[in-house]
Amino acid sequence: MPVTLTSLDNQEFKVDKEVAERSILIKNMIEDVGESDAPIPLPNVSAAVLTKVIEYCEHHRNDPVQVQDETDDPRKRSNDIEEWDMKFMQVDQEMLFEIILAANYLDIKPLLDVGCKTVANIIKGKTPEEIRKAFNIVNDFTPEEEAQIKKENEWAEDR
Amino acid sequence: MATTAAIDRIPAETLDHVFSYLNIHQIYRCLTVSKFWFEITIARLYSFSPDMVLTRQDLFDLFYKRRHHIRHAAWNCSPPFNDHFREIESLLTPDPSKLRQLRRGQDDEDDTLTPALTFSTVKTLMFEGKLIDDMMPRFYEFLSKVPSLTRLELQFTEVHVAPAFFNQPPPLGMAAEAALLTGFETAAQEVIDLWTLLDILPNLEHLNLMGCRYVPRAEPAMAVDNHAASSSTTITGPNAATEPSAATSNGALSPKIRNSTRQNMPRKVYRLKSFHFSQMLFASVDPVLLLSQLPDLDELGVHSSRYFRHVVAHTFYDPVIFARALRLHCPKITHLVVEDWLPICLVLPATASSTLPATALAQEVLSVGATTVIPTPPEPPALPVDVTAAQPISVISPDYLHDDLDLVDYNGEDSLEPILPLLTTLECPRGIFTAEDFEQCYRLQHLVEIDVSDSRDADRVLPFVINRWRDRPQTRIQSHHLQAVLERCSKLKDFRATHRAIRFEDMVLDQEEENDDAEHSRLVLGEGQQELKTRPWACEATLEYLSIGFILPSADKYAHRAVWSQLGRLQRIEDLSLVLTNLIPSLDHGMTSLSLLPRLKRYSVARTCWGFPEKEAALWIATECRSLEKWRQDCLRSREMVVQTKSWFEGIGKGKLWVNK
Repeated sequence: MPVTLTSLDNQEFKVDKEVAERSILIKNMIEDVGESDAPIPLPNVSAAVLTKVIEYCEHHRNDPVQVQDETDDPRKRSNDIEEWDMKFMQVDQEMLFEIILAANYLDIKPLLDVGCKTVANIIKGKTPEEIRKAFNIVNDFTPEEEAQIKKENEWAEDR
Repeated sequence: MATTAAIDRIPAETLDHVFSYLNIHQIYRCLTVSKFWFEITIARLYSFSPDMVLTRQDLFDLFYKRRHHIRHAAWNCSPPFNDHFREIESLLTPDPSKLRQLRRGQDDEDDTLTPALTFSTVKTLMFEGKLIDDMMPRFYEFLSKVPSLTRLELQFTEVHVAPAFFNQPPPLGMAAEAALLTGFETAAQEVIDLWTLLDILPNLEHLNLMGCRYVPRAEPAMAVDNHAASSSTTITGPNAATEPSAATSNGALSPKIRNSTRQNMPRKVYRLKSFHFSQMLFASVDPVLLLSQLPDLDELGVHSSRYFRHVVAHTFYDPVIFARALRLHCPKITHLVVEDWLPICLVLPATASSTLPATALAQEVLSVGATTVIPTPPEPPALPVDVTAAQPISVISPDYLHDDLDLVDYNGEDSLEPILPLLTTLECPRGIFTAEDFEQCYRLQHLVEIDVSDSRDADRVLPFVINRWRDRPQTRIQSHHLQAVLERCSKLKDFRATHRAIRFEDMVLDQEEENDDAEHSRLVLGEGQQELKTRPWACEATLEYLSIGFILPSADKYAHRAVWSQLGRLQRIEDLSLVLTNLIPSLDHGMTSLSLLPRLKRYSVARTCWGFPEKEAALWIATECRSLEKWRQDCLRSREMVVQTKSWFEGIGKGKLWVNK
């Protein structure tokens, strides 16, 4: 049965229920509201982003449900992104963060993971200054504060 | 002029998720990117296992230099860990009171560990990880050096069940029990002598043993701090006797001797006020004896691992005996924490006894005569491990079962109330209640705090609940159950049902009720306008915190007004959190009722399909709700709306009111 999703800019998207239900948020909404033809409003997701999200869900429609790992494994790896996902994430930064925000909101953990891994890969190997430049972040530390932080945590530095 | 970075819109928790994929050196580089990043990365930096980057010597040199700042200790002991205890000891300063006198300041050069420490004060210790049997004496010796401890957490390895189990409904019946028993027996190697622990830590008030299990004490003559042992109160009674020394040649007590030993041991009273254990603990500890020694217990937490716990539970202990022990020995409990179901095991009317599982019926405990109405048990199927042999529950003595109450015909209660008469707080961290269990909540009309939030984890992992006694799926909490709690619990101050929602149909009065209760819930509308009434909540005058959702069938404004009006009657409410709701946030739909709440300080909305309120409503509420301090809104994906809404609030000088969640 198709489900209709309405984006922020009032565009309607008809998708299979099983595809839509890759989003836990939508799945819960469908369960809460019951069988209904009424479109599901997603007022915080733009059509462009929703298109990408649906593309991802379509591609992964048959994936097994991801088992939640409660433990925060510090050895998580960011280099195990599937080839299709990697290509899927080859978008500009604006879209990348929009997809992450959408995945977070729609509660699509695999998509959120891929998005976060992609950002982590951008960060890897960069100095603080390069990271700031990559993401257009303003340095709000004074030089003294920065030096103090480095000194206090130098044990973690890669020397 | 600097433009806003796209990454700035990512909330902290998501950014932390990104950092979780970085190694410690990369995290270090992120520390100085910006102050916002620092706040997130510093916590993550100190949550790393330092073994990943430092030799242990380097690590301890580092911590030793900063030991005066260590206020919270959590220790992950992975074998071989014998040396770790010595190292931890070296970190404990001789005078713990000095630790608390230190305060953060620019003069303290070494103050950086404070915010993200993996360590805590010598008043509080937490260990998480594996401890192995033959290391336990060393562990006790270590603990005996810190008798000042008031809080100890020993959260050892959780039981791991094969991941495949999580992708499908749990197997039912004995097959599941057999599989689980095998899992427990192979995975749960951590053992602890509870009484030794309590003896050497006489000031202990809070003990968390999640994931531990108990084995009979193997060394009765184990060195115990004399002061510690003598500071406990000893109950002298007809059964009191001297400490036995009988042991087998290898130092362990035989079951028979142990049995008689327990019955004759002097019963000490310990100071524990809160005690959290996993059901594995009761797999072999003598629960009745233990509870009889904890008369001051105020908080009890029953934990277990994942969703097979309901199957496991009845395998390991007899719920009737557990209920009896609580009723008899722990009358002061006010706070009950249960990880999955409300302990319906404590609520067993006589008729339910015939539905006890075969393994429970087979337990020797029935021979004490306490459950005389239970029919002869059927022969239990063969299990892969000899559970009955590992169950000292069979040593429960009638002495402390029947001490003060006539319990011969006791078969449980049909309510929690007589078992825990002072219970005011009921907490279910995983929110896996069955509807049947939850109905207990509104029988307990003196409850002050209830938390039945439905975590996302529960939603995903456990779409239904297996009734332990009938081995069949059972519905979870429904909308009308939530409504019933609010209608009946007149003392409720704190009701958390996050990710659960009440349907409007369950709130409205039917025709009959309407006649009886016409005064209540009347909406002040214009002349001739339709009016909908909701059933009154008993806690309207007491509720201070409410987290819940409302699901309405349509955008009909009178229905929405009725719900807002209901919220507007919560005169003491300070914190209102609407999660999972389609309640329309507009003045025309009744949001004005929020202004009737004189104490409302925090208003939070999440998982709503309506997004932001209209400008008119936002500004009206910001102006009219004079006590409002924080307005949190789930608005993760709408940058324009975030900016726009913020500007509305800033335009009336209330910029600080609004929080982008």
